[in-house]
Amino acid sequence: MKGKNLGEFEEIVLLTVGVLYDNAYSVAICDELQNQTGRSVNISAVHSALYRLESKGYLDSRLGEASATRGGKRKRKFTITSLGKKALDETMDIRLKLRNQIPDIAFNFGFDN
Amino acid sequence: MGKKQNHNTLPPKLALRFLSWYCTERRLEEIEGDLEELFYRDINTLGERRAKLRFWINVIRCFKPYAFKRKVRPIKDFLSMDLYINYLITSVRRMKRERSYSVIAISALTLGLLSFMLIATYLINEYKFDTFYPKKDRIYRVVQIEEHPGGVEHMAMTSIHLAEAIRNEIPGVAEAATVWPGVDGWVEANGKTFYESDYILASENFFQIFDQQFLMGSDKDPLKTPMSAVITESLAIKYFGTIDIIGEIMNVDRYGLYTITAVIKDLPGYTHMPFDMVLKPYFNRFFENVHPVFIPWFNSWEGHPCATMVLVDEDKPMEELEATLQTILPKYKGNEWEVRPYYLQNIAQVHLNETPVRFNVARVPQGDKSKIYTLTVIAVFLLVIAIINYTNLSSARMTNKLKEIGVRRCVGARRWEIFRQVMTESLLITFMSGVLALVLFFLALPHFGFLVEKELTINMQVLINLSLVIVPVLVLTGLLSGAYPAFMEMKASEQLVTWLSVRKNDHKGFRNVLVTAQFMLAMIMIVLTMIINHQNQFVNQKELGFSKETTLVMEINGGGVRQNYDHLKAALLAHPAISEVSGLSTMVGGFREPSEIDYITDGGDPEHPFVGSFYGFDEFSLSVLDLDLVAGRDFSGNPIADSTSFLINESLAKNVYPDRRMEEIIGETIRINEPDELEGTIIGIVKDFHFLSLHEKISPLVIGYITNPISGIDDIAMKFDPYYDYLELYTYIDDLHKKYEPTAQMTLNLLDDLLQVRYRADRSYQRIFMTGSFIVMFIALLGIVGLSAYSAQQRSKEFGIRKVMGASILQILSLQAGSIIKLIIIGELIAVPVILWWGRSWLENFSYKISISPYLFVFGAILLVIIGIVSVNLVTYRIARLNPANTLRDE
Repeated sequence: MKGKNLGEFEEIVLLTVGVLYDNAYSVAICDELQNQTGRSVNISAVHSALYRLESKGYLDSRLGEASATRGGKRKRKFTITSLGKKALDETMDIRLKLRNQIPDIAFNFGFDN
Repeated sequence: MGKKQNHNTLPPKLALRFLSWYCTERRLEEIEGDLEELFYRDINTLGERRAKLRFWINVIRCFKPYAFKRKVRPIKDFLSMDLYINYLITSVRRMKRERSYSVIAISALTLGLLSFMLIATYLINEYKFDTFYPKKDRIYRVVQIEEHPGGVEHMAMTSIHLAEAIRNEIPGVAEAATVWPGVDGWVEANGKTFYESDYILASENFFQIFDQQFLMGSDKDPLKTPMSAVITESLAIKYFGTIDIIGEIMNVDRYGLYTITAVIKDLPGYTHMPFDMVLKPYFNRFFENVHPVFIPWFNSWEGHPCATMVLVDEDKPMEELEATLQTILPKYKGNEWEVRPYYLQNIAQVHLNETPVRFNVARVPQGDKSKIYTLTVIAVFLLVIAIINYTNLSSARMTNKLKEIGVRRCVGARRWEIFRQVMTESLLITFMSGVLALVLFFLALPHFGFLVEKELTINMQVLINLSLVIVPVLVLTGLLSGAYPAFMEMKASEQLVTWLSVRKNDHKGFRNVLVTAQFMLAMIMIVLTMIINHQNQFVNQKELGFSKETTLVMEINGGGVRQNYDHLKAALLAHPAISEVSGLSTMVGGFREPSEIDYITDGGDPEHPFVGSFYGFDEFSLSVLDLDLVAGRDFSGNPIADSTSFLINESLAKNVYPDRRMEEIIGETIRINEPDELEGTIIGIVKDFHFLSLHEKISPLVIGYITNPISGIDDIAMKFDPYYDYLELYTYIDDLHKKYEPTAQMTLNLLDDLLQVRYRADRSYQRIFMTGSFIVMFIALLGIVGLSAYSAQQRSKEFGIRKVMGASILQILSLQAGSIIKLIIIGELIAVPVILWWGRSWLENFSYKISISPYLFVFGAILLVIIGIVSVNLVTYRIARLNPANTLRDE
């Protein structure tokens, strides 16, 4: 399958789905992203990330309950699959591994010159 | 959130519709829900206006691939092929099950496509004239413009010396060749004698202009040496049985012994210069063989009966060339004659040209534009009517299919798949009809050639062009005829009701429009055919004013007959079947033009002459042609007295002497100024007769004695006994002719036959229209037969109940026929203005024409109605006569 690896935005969305656990649907994710990262995200961007993650097998979804606030429409709720968890862990590992390999000297921002 | 929402404000409707238009069903609910949730929240925080705006923005921003309808087809790829196969299988099954419907649909489409193919072939043959020469863009014909009192005439006849002068004088001309038509005659080759007419004489550079495919011999200067000949493959086979004949000798009538230097492939039929043999004579000694009298004429710069073909250099501006061309005549010819301007005509323009050009090397008539238009219109009519038929039948049958569609939808077919399925079926049927039409096409081609009076060529060039036309037409036909039913079925499949049970909406209104349109077209064709028939009958039966059944016409082709006219005449009269013989300048009837003259009356103004036609008659002409005098007398037979006497016709008398009685005009003087001066006294007035064709009005005519200087004897008319053995008579005259003109072929015809030729184009129209209207009517009939068979079947129970309630079969029949007849009559009414317009513009061509009689309309209308009733009743009767006990028990 092409594009196995996670994009930055995808990763954040995936994490947010995990955070929200049982209430992970697009509008909630949108709000949570805004709260947590402070960046304003359009609903459409969240949609496309979610559907892409689902097609990659990292997310599972089901239709949830309908509510009056939504004009009587049901919402699609997402949960992380084990494959999604694995992908998250891998990305995290790679980051951590790389982060740990950075020599201290690289962070020496030249007060000496 | 959690607050009671203000549901009075709803999201913008249009935005919602847009969303549901592009968004896949699978995702629609959740996306719509998300957007609405945001919207209601925005109303509370931002207010209604901004909420609506943001809703719009969100809808537009969601317009992304993940929401699109076509996006999600998870299992499409590996199933689609099977799906199409399944479409085909069910289509074939349905066609088998509803056999009579399939036969009707396919045969109507086949007929439509077949006619279209035939007509397309004809049109391609016309439009591709002379385009097979590789250098066609650079090949030009020299045409000369001649002005005379009658108007401007374009002539492709040039001097035989022009080609050489052009080659020497005009820069930018690569080659210039003289092409001379061969005269019918015998050819002796391989010990056998053949009669040939399609050959030409040409100068040695002919093949440098007109590239050919050489099968034998070298393509390098095959005509370099005089007395060499190049012949086509089929002629070589005919003469020698092989094409390996380089060096063989042929003896050609009048032209001598020729050596064959090359064999070329046959030419396609669509050329204005067809030939199967090209001879290179000693042009300079050419006429010595024929007659010494002609040598001065031959050496002059007069127009000879030959064409000059020019190959120009690439990128040479034509204006420059044509300008230089004008300098040639004054230079060579001097100023002894008025100089007539030349122009160059591209070879591809020779055939289909608005300007008539006199003289064609091979006497191939110029293309007839109006015939091309007519045929195109008929082709489109036929195709449209066939498409309508299919649309009609398949939309009528739709109800039968709804169950199948319902099942397909239940199993998971999408809307577009239903559309595709119906389309596949209509493309399949169109394709089957196309194949069938193609087979019939090759069978029908020769007959069609007869219909349009032209032998059609089928070669690679034509086939390629034909397929370029036919393939798109086939696809378009398939798509057009499937479009409506496919769309309607797709629509129907959206409604749950149709999935489960048959819904009774069979789109009757639309079908009615189509049936009306079909019968409108049929009516147009039928009445136009009748108008054309009537007009032609009118022309055939119209009293021409002279006798045509018992008159023989011999053309004078050579000096021998002209010089020995008196001897010949005596010998002709000696034959028991010939009662009278007369010499004329030109035979009357309009198949050859008489001379045009300018003349003035006594004391008339020479600056403003009258214009008229002129014939030379002798003292026997009136009686041979059975022409009557209304006043005065005929020529006396005394050449001296007759040479200053004129006969005139009634039209001239009425035109020039409007206030005088016929008798008073006798003795007046007429002076002819152009083309030669001639003065004479009117001795008699001839009753008007149609000396030109019936397309033209009878115009003023002056008849001089045959010894006049304007136009001398050129035709011999004979009155003969039609009960006499014609073959014996012909041989007798032919022998006489040979005695005086040993080398020329005699041309002897019945005047009636010659006149028939004159009206051939009109009769060709009649045949084309008759065939066309027959086919249109037939297809329209197939259509209503199919429709009413279907509707009778649908209504079989209704019929059963009606019968139980006491209706008779007749009442049931009239119930069915009534609805169709209404449509037929509406179609007929719509057709009337079209017919009037078209019929009138066709009749414009004739000076003597019928008025379009209302009876034709009534007759056409009744004919169609009767045919309609009969065919509807035939198919309905089968259902209507069934015992109600059986039809009602069904199910």
